[in-house]
Amino acid sequence: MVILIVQTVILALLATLVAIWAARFPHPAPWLRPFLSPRRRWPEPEIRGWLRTGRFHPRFLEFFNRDPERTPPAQAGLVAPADGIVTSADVREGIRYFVIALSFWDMHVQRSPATGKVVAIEPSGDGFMDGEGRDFAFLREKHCPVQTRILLDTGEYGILAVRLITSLAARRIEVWPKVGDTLTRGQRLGRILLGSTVVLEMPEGCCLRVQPRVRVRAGETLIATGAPQ
Amino acid sequence: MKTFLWSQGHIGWPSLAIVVFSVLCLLVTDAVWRTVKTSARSVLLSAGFIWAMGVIAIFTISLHWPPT
Repeated sequence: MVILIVQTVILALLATLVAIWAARFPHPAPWLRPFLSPRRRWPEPEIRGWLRTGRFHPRFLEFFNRDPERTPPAQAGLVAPADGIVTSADVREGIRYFVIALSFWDMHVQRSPATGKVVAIEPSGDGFMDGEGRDFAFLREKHCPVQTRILLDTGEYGILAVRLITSLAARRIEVWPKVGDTLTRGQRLGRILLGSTVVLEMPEGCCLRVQPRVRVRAGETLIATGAPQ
Repeated sequence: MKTFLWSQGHIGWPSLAIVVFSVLCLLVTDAVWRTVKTSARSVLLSAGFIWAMGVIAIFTISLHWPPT
């Protein structure tokens, strides 16, 4: 009788494991998540499902809201304002638009590319988009983007602008400094909640150190050197 | 076969072993599929082969158990 009870307990335990596994499939079972890389731990379809329902896995939110310390490089130059992949660095009317695409698994706290004074913070929604036109690929790709443009007077590099862009679905951008504050290179600038793009507008004369499709780290990767001519 | 499925008032050990082995195979296959960069087809084929070998081994051992 004791053996039968032990066997029944074993079978019940196995049935529970299989039921949990089947209920989560194709997403990973909870006991497997800690051993997977972030991309496999929280697959994109699962995150998109959470976006629709607004109910996120608490461990994912904890991961998403991480804010690690960063050490700027010793060499002078502009550092990346965000973590992500560089998608383009096109020049238009003397301004280079350095575009960084963030994925769901990238760290979402942005940092100042150079030491400078905040001269303006321009929050804007779709109206600003229409005024600007949808000529920019990084704006055209977004569905009703919401953006905040932070202008920095850096002296050496002139006026730099960091655009934090998100979609209407996420629409939350936090900017921590105020107009008149002085930021050091690599200092925290703000955060896009579930946002996707950061654009650094810099003078064309800056010498680019990274090319598109390269992964950069906020506050650490040197992206441009040399004051504009 | 009677002792395989039911023996002395409890589930036969070989059948229980096959159930435990099958569930472990399923969960390990899922873990391998998620962590190893290979096609799902090759993972399924490998898992199927290992599962079949395991079941044959358990069945064979049960036929010759206890050793005389």
